[in-house]
Amino acid sequence: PSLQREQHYIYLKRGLRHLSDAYECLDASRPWLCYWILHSLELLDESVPSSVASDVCKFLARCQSPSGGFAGGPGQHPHLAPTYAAVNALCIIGTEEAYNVIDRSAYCAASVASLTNIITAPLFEGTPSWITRCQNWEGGLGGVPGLEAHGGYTFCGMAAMVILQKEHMLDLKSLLAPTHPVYNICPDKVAQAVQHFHQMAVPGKSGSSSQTPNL
Amino acid sequence: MSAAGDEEHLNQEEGNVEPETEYGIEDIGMRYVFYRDRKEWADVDPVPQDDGPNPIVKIAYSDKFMDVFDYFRAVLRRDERSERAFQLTADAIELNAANYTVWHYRRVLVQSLQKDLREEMKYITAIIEDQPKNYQVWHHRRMIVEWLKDPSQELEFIADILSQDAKNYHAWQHRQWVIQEYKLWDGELEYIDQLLDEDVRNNSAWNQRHFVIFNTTGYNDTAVLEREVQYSLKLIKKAPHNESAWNYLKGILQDHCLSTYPNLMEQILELQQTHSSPYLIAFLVDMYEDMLENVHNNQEETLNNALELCDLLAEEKDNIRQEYWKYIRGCLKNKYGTSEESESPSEEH
Repeated sequence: PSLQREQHYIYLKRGLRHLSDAYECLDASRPWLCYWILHSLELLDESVPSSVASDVCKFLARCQSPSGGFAGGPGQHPHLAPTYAAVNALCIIGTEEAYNVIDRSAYCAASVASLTNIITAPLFEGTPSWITRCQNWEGGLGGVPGLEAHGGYTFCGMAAMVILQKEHMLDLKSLLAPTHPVYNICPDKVAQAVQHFHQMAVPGKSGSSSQTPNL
Repeated sequence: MSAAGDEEHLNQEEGNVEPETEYGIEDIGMRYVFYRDRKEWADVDPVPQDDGPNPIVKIAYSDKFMDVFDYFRAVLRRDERSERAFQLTADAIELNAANYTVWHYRRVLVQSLQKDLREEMKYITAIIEDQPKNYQVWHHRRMIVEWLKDPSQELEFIADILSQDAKNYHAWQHRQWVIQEYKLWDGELEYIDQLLDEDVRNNSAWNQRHFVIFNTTGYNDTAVLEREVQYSLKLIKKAPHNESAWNYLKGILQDHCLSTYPNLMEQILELQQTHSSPYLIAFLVDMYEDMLENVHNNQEETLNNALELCDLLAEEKDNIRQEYWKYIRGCLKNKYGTSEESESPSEEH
């Protein structure tokens, strides 16, 4: 079966403008909707017309909080999750207008900080050791220490550690142990996947890292 | 499951009645009244959502949705601390229980108006029963428990939610928090035994087992460790192709020298005759690897055993993970093989 590119493109293009009332449950996640759609379009290699890109910037600007961070929609309180989504969406757009939307007051998760190049040691001091506590007896990572290993949290935890260049603190061997076909790939592949996702080099065993983040 | 105040706003004569209702109340001749038509809200100007002139990801909200949130925005803007605002939050939550701004404001009101926390507990119980996979509702419940300093209902409530979905991640997270915070470890192991009896493949229950033991007796107690090893083997015999049981066995032994654990190798090899599985074979690979690392006689034989099993897994028993098993094979050979035999651990992928 082949990927129905045209249908997906039409679906995404429409969704970027209009969504049915079935999406009321995502009314507090609108930057996510932007990000999911823009990221999908990017993966399909479809460009976003500059007027639409500009409209996205203006909308996300309305989701930004004066105290920092982005909210799930205009008038809502800021929250880390939509902040992540909004910053990523703006980076996908990548225009000057987009970057100008992100004030330096952006509220940071590791990836947000990394994309805007403001990771500083004190900001994330306790983060790596907290993440290592999330690795459990199964080898994967749970949402908080003690919880069952979970695909989503394993990805996020691993990605955060890679960005902070602390992935060696995790027990990588048990992380990659065959608990799930998803994980049963070589460690190099994991590093590559994270690299593609975050568009930055991961220091690999081969030593080939072209752009290390500006720490 | 409408807010307590809703009944007052279902009346027969008010203007601007919508012919189609969303809640099946036509039968009794009642109609939902929009906030904009409620006399007691006439002093408030609703605040429309400011999406800007060219919105993105614009949701086609129903009239009811827009009306409720226009009034919520108004109340939020003026920071109104009132009973009517409190009831408004319930309407907003019913329309979108994931709106964390509304939940936060509701908590502000609960404290401001000194609402009865027991009543709030009843409210959140009902909401969670209806929407058990929402983050905000569980967080709200946790706040109420903390304010009340009373976890006494929690274990029973969570067990009820788990009886509907034994793996609800939010439920387990709340359960672990309550147990750890209020030291409610007693009886939890028995609860897990019961869950595993119902479904031996419930990985969440296996995880909880580890959580309880790790945080109470620990696994360094030899009697405890042996009990758990035998428990795992017993359940493996019951359902040999149960990944969870094998993961647990490996998990509890990984810091206790897998290969030298008394009698284990014999028990596993015996099991292989009658209850083999890809997991058993993978476990044997782990044991051989541990032997190679920690026991320094018969290295060549041990290595060959391990490599043979990797081949068996890659080619036949766990073919879907063949790349992984080839990688492991290569790593083992590189590390423990003699120098003439070493090969690159990763081939072209």
